Amino acid sequence: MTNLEKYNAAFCETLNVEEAQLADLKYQAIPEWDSVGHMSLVAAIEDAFDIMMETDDIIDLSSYAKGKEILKKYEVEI
Amino acid sequence: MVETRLLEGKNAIITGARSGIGLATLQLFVQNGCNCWAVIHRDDDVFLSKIQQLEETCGIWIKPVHMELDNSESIKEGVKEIVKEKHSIDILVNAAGIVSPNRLFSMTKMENIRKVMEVNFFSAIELTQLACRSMMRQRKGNIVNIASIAAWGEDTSQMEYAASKAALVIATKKLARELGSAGIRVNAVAPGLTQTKMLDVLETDAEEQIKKGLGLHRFGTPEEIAEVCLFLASDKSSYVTGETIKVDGGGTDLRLSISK
Repeated sequence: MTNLEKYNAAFCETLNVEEAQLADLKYQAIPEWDSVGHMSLVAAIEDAFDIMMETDDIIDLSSYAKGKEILKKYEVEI
Repeated sequence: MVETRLLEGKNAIITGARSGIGLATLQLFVQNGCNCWAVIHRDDDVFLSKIQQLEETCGIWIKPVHMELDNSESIKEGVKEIVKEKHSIDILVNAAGIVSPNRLFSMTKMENIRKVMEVNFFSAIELTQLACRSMMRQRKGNIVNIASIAAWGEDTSQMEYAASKAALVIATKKLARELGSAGIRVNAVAPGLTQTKMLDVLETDAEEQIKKGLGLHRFGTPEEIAEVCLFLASDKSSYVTGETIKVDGGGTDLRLSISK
């Protein structure tokens, strides 16, 4: 699995969305991405890439696109 | 060995697991089929041989995890170690606690006050925040905080200890409200005077006087506190959350005890 596939899978499985919806997906734009969904998403991303995100980054994770940027800090290129 | 193991197949993080209430909780949990990460700040041979014996007797695993609970980086490193093992984190028991060496506020250094708050309150909150990520993903989890009857501020000393425990009581309530929708229960146990090293500061005469003031005329044991932790960590309390249960032998007039 490539990093992009892992990243997409974390979103799709946790938030119950299709890959086609991901590009423009933002926090709280769908009912599934509420605060609880957000923490589940963080756990799924951490799990997928074996990292532990800082609280500041969890707060900053405001969209699918932003998440890719944040992951660079953890040496994960998507 | 108990007949019905209430925590069969669960995994728990227990802080302060080397002694006192933490150790009693660890022992009772493993006897009930729970695998445990025992959070300690240093190893010793007695503890390591004890957990090895428990593993063999109970058919579970116990892994010591080193954390300095007044150091956020150390807590994060410890949790990373746990998360890397890819086991579910089902239960967190925040049992670690310290008291500062001086009893009266005016005689207590600010650094000691800060340290008590770090270990007794902030470490519990940080561990909760980190463990919650796994629990939220599982959509279930269980957190038990060890507070204290000191949280009600009835005695005249140990302000910082009482404040740290009072903070834990209100955090328990608030976190239960926030995390309930994710299937996570948060409760606390507030022990009264319990036979642990924390009572070493009492003189024998004072000890006897205090016992007479207690409803049950004796101190509690760590095992009696652990039983309530087990109840709260198990499905026996599946509709209990945000609650702090006093386990204090009927209460006491603490003004008799600790003001000297």
